[in-house]
Amino acid sequence: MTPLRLTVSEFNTIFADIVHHQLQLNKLCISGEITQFNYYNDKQHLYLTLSHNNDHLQCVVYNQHLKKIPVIHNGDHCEVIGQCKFLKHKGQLIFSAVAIGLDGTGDKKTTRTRQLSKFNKDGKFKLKTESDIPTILENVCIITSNQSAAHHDIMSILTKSPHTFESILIPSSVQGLVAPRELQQALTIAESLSPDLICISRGGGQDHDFDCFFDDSLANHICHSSIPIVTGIGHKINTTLCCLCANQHFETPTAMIQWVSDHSMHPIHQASITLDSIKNQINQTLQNLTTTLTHIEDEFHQSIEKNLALLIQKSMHLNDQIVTLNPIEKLTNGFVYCKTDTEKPLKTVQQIKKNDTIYLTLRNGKASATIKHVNQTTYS
Amino acid sequence: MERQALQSNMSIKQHIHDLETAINDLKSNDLPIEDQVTLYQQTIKNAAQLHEKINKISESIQKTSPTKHEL
Repeated sequence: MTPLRLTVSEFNTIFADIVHHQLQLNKLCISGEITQFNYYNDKQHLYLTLSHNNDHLQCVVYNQHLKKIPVIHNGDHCEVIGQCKFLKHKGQLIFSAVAIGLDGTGDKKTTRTRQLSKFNKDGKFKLKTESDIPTILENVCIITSNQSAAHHDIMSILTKSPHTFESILIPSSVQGLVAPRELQQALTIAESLSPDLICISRGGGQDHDFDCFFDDSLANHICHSSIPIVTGIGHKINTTLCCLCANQHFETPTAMIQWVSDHSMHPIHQASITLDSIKNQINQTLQNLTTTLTHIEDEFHQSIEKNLALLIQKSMHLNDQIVTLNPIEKLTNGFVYCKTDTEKPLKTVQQIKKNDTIYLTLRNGKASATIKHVNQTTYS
Repeated sequence: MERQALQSNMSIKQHIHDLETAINDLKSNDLPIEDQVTLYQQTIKNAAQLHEKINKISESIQKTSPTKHEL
């Protein structure tokens, strides 16, 4: 059988005609749970994902119908009225809604609320804490999809940021039905390597892409792992059950690996700060010592100068005294040195009596004399 | 260096003490005149030596530059 040959434009035109005119899909009411919604072009259009079990439908509400749309939240169950549209140029089928009627909370939301409540009640969110993450990291296992955007982001950060650890990739699916089992297998492999830390990560995506991270078994495995685990899953809006069970969770893979790198460098930075502090203290002490030493030196110098001045003064005083005591000078000035016949200097009149001989020394000779009269007179 | 400086100071102290003793001896007039003359001559000599010693110390202090405390 010869295949019908068409261009993309021809196929899209035919398919649009089928959807718009032949299938009678112009007025439908579809019920489901809102699992994701976003406003685009400055709130001109609302895109939302409607889910039921594991099936999903992309819907759009264009600007002209937005006024009729109530305030919606993720997890709301609703009925959406509108028509199927096939976007010819994109080749994409989408449900264009004109009205939304809310009717309670969806099963997925209810189930997750119960799940989170049970884990919380069982204290499983407190089993692993940030303080259990070792300060020194040498080996880190990273569980993510090989060659994924998250993997590239992680490797990019590790290339740019200094860190202390070796990283080992344990590849695993991070979305889909097999992901919970593969993630648990990857976790078991990682644990067998006894790393200091395990990182579980994936990039952003549709809300249902993160379903695997709400798997009870995987979350319990994380809770009871003896090795610290951190997660960086999706964007900031994607906080999963696994995130809450981990020692620490981050908004994105980039934020996670950046934190791990910085955390590993923390002891080095601390040591560096301590060393700087010690260096500053030593410098300060040396500065103080230098100041003290200079002060002592100045004081010592002044003391020496002062003592030297005193010494010179003393020396001059001694000189003056010595000059006045020149015995020759005394004799020259008319004084006579007298001694008794016992060779003792004659100093007092009591030493002599009448007829004693005394011996005189003059400037230029000697003489002896006999005492004829002794008259005791006291000079005050 | 420190010990040498200390000995030098002690020597000056002793020098001054000796001079003071000699001055007292000369003042006392207890010695025979010949001994007084000899003591006086010795004392004059010692005084000159002390003066010289003080001058040397003074010069030494003037020449000494402050220590550079390079860390």
